[in-house]
Amino acid sequence: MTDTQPSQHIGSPPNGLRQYYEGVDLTDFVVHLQDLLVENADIREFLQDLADMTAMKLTTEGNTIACGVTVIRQKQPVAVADSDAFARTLDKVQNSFGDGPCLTALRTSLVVHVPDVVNERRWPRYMQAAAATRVGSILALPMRLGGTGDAVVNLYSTRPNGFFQENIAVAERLTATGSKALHLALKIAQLQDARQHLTAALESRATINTAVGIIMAQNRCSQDTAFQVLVKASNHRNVKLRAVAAAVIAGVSGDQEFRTAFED
Amino acid sequence: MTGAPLDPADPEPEQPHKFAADRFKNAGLSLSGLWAYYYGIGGTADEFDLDGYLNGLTTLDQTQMALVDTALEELHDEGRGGPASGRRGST
Repeated sequence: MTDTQPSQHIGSPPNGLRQYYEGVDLTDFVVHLQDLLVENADIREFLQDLADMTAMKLTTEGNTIACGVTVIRQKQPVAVADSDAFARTLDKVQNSFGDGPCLTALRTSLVVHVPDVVNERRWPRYMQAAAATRVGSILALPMRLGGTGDAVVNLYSTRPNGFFQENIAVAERLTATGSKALHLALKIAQLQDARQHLTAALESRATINTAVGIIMAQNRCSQDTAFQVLVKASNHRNVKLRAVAAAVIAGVSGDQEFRTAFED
Repeated sequence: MTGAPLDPADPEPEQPHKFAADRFKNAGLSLSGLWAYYYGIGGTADEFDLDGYLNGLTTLDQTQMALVDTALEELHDEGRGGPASGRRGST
């Protein structure tokens, strides 16, 4: 994609800023993200802190930078975190158009730079809407999450040419570090989900196998036939298979616990 | 609950796996999530075979196909979402 090559547009940093950006320390950023993982914070809280800290690290005097994070949820882009209302508005406008620099970064996995919103020719509808706000320049950095999800960090500066070599490098380091931590958080969440599902499955399977055994004994039939009896009863009564199985067991044992489960 | 073509009198769909595969795709479920649920209601095929069935590469016997359909139906009724959508209760 040639339209994602920002190099020829990159301006020079204002005096003194080069040194500032070279000295930006990410240690506290890394420590904070690790703390969130250890504390078992939810993903939204994690992304909110990521947005806040990224905006804070990149903002300098005279160049305020806002940060938003957009993720793909059920194939739709959703703005999930932002450092302020400014970033939130711009993210939402872009998602409503379904196209723009941040969504292009998301789809192509390439960094997208808009040095000057007023002179930008790509994404005309979004740029027209963006030009009506205070945004001067935009930088969108895709997060690398190894297939666990899709997310993009959206940065907005109030001035044109608010992004240049030095702070783009810092933004890339912040996003790379944040991506690793988010990747880990998503993996933990997936494993917890999988564990919950398996625990539920083991409990449910015990109930269903017991019921199948009862039906086999009562009807003198095969296991397959007993399963079909259960499935048919579940379909006809519009009741979950597990609840039908619990009722079969309760019918034999008079077990109140199973009855309760059925009435739920 | 509709679905599960178990009654021999029911017309057999030409490609039952396609019906299940389409539902699976539209539900936005993870394969492991569907397999865990299917296993929980007594399914005996492993995750690999379930994957093959949904992709039309292997077949399952009638009981197992009915259990896959039941799993899809019950997960749909629960409104259980897809993978990586955060931490939430699953029952």
